[in-house]
Amino acid sequence: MRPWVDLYVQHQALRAMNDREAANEVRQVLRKLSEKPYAVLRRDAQARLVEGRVPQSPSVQYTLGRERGGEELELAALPPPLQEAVALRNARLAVLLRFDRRAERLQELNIMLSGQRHDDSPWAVAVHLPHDRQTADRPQGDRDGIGACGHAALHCHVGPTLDHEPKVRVPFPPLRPAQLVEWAVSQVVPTAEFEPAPWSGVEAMLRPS
Amino acid sequence: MREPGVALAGALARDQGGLAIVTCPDLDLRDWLVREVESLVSIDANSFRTISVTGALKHPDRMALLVPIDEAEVVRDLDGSRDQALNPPRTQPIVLFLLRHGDGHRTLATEAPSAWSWASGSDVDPEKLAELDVDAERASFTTDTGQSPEDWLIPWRAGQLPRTQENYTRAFWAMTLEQT
Repeated sequence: MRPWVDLYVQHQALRAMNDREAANEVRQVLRKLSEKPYAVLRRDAQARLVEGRVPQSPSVQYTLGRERGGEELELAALPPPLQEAVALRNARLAVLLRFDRRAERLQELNIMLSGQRHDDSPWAVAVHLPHDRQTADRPQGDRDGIGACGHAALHCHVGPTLDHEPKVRVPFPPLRPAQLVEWAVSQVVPTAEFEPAPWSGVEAMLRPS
Repeated sequence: MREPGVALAGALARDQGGLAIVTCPDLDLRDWLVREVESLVSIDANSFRTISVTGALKHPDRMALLVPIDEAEVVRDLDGSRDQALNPPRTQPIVLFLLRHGDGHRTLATEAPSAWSWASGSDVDPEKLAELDVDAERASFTTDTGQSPEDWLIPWRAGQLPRTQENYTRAFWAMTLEQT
């Protein structure tokens, strides 16, 4: 049981972050994803990470674009060799982040990528960190489900849709929002151009200096 | 509603080699906004920070992020330096960070007509733009779902609504707009 408790503690610790710093990290990833020649998002996606502040409240959210369903990935615009590696006909990326600015706390995270395979069947991944607010109807905050293994706080759904049974929730390591966006896109375009941590780079960083 | 990031990026792109003014609510936030601009611009802009107009003019091919110590003095310097910015022509803008209601804005309005016209249309206050119009967003949510955010959240929290991507997104917005 201890490792699951440790993971939950790490997920709790992950929430401590400054929203502007986290948003700027995400913008850097979005910028990379929208720069030619390997762009999967429309140009200047970094400018479309929209900040929304609730007046007279510490609550601030960031969403990718105003379209609530997120933004379409421009998979067809990829150069031909990369297109062959893509198993989806279309996909949309949604980034939803909510923070308590005063407490410097990530309250909720939702990074979703869904689309259709070439045979038109649906496919989706979604990384969720639920809201941790304890209320009368949520007395346990982010302790959803029945335990820290089956329903880890930071988890990823993988399936044809998010609602298909069995609802797979893969526990996720405590990665920051920018890395989660990188990861999600790397699953759809599994090529060197979209791999944020190529083994050659990992090896170089592991080498003693 | 104008989106703050789009407005900021628009101000930076509007006049290649021109002057863009970013307004900051306070000194603490100024540093964050400088970093936000750094995260928004292309790597090709090769941006750098400087505190003086002389420093900004030194590299016409790089985006100068001008973060003054003395705002009024820098605005006056800019007012007298427009010709130098045209020869050689800049390929990247100067981005001037000024405090809202600060000395820089006062000087710009009263003593620096050249700098004011240079920046015309390229001034942006991203913090002001970031404020959500909660009434309009609530009305939009109610039109979309037929329920207020609070009413919609009751069955969602009880696990009675399908866990679809659309509903996850609605839940996110409903919690932002929820009035407790």
